[in-house]
Amino acid sequence: MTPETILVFILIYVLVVLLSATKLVPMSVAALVGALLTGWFGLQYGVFTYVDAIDFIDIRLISLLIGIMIVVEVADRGGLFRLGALYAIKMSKGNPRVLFITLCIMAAAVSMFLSDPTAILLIAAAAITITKLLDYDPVPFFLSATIMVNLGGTSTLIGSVSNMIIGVQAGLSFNDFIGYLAVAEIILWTLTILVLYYIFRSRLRKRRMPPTYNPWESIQNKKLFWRSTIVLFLLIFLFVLSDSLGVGPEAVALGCAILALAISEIDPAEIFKRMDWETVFFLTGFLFVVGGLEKTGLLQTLSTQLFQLTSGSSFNATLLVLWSSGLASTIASNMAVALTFTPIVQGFIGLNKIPIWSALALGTNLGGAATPFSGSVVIMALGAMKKEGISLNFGEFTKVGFITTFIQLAFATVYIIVRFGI
Amino acid sequence: MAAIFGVISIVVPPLVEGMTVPGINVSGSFLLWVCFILVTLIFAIRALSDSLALADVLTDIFLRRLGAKEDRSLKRVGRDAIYIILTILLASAFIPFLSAVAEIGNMLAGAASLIALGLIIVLIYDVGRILYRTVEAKAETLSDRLVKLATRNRKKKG
Repeated sequence: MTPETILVFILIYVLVVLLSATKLVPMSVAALVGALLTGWFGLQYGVFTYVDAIDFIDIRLISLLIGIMIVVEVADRGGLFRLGALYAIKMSKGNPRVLFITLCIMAAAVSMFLSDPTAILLIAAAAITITKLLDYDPVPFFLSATIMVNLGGTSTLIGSVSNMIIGVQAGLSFNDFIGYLAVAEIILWTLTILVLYYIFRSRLRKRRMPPTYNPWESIQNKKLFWRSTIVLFLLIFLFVLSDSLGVGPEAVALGCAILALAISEIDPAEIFKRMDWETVFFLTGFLFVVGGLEKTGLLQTLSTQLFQLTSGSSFNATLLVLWSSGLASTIASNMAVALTFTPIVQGFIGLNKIPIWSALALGTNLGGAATPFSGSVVIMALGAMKKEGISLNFGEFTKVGFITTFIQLAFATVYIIVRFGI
Repeated sequence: MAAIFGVISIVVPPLVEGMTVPGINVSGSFLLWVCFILVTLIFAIRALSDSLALADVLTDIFLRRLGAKEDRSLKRVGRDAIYIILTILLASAFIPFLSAVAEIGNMLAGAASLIALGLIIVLIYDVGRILYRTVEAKAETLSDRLVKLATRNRKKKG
């Protein structure tokens, strides 16, 4: 492969990252333009054949993503997540500190199942209603909910798209993720809430009584609620059993999605319309771009050089992956970071890969809410705040985002060392 | 004007070859050459500063047509970088096809390369001036702070 050819593929990769980061065009369009250019140059320069190119798109990953999106969309329409949020608010009894902690936990819990943009829309709606009703300062609630939505789902295969990428490409099951990262996630939740509470404690003082309401009244269609809830729990149950069943998570997700569509009695077109196609197309396009880059041999070379840099030590490799993926995720999409790091980590031959995959999962998830550029969840939260006339400047978000991200990554470092004994 | 005086500085001095200016004992041709060169330089400096101002205006007009609405912010640097990469990639993609056109292929490919190079130079110029202004603004802020700090310290001591 000539250096000019490799340079062209690097330029395509940089172009997609820059286009996504500057939001000059939608993220999906950026990745699809990258895929088109990769296809064009790859075939023109003979880097890969047409048949090779079709294999760049991991159909298992796309199936897993679409399957989960359908199940969760049906559950959302059934009102499960809204009911949970309303119960959480009711339990706080108007105490701003309890409400703050409850909202943080709810944000993280909801985002374990919902995609981050959907979760932030749901939590933002709850935060707006409650802070307006009780005349609380909305900034601490909004900002903390955004950071917690990003954190939620770090330890589950379906908690974030970056986890799905790592899970499918590394062959890690739902149980593997829980086994390796659940303890870390619980501690990270506690640690982050404590840090956020400490930062905002002076703004959570006056208490007002909330109006009395029955959360169950928010459920308009009880039949849909129960059916969708059962399918969601069935999905999780089958994920846990998928190893013994001998099927991959994508088969479980697609099976449950079909079941959800069949028993929900909702027009499937309405479900498909509300799905996050932006993520699906971004992932497809970026898989193609990374596939092209991999065919040039650059990622393999990078992997070998990084391996030499770590002197073949699991400890060095794990920490390098954790911090570099974490820092890269503060400026680039965590999906892009996960897709780029996956082939690099696969090239670390002879090392114990479990701690490295865990480090990658933690790094890509934790770096997603450090700055307003870090991910779609932050942009959507800031957009929702602006729409409600709540002002929050770049500096204020970045200050809180960087402090929490740094603390989370520092804890992740200690956790990985202790948990895997590297 | 600079070009005219440049030509004059070459043509006129030989006409007075051999003449010496009385009192200062310098050859007439040399004195005339120095005078014309000075005038040429003055006009050249003016022309250069005018052309820089014109280049600024033309670059702004050109980039606004490309959709750059940001007023020389760092986001615009990102946009310029995107356009530079896109120009390189599009030129690399199409030049082999242009070269394949019978008879005029090489000419078309050469023209496309030159257009791409021109675009890249304009975009790099835009990046350069934005970075320069950003650094200049930061340096001014820093120097203002230092002056304030020094004044405060002097008052305390006084």
